[in-house]
Amino acid sequence: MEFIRVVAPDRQFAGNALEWALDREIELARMAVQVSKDRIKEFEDKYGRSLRSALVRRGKVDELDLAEWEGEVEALDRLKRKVAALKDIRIWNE
Amino acid sequence: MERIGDRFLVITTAIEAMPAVDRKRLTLDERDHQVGVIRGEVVFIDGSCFRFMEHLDLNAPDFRRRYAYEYRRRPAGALVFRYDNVAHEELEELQTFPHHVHRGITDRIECAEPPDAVELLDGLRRQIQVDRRPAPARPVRVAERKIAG
Repeated sequence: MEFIRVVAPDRQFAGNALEWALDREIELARMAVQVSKDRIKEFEDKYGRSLRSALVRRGKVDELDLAEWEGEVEALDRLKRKVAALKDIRIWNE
Repeated sequence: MERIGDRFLVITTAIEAMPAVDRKRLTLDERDHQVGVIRGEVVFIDGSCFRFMEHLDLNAPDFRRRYAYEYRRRPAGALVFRYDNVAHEELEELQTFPHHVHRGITDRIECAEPPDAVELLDGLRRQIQVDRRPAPARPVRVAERKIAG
């Protein structure tokens, strides 16, 4: 674990503000995860769960959709890691 | 660039400058301040169509994690170009892998660095202006008059 120090005129106020901001950031990241999952499901509903290479070979997939689909799978992974990293942040306000 | 909205503004401004647009559709799907998707379709009055998608993560060194820019002409939507970085296994030998371009109706694949979307639109704008330039006036043939000697 690493530590950062925050300087503020009112410790209580700053602590509450940081906790609130962190909670909001976690909520936003969770919502982003859900949006990514929904979008991936839209692609799977549209094209099925066939192997990507099979879809491309058969010319069954719009290449713009394919690029976005790949981007979405990668984004989902990054967003999940972001949620985990945010949840690991602890604020001590003693 | 700090926010997804900044990128959206850049693209929107470039599209607003395009001539001969019949209709357009642009969407910004903002996941958080730095992650999001921009999609768009511009149909020109000659029926040709530019479609694009950018999956963005402004935290990444190459902020366009995935992209595709496609231009098709009438008739029957013949492909002119499509730049994208979909990682097709069969293209791993390409020097610019996964970046490449598909060209023409034969879908010829070539190496290509990621293009600048604004430059692509600018190229299309210049091409469309050339295509729409009025044809030069034909020289008027003056009837020769034979003067009887």
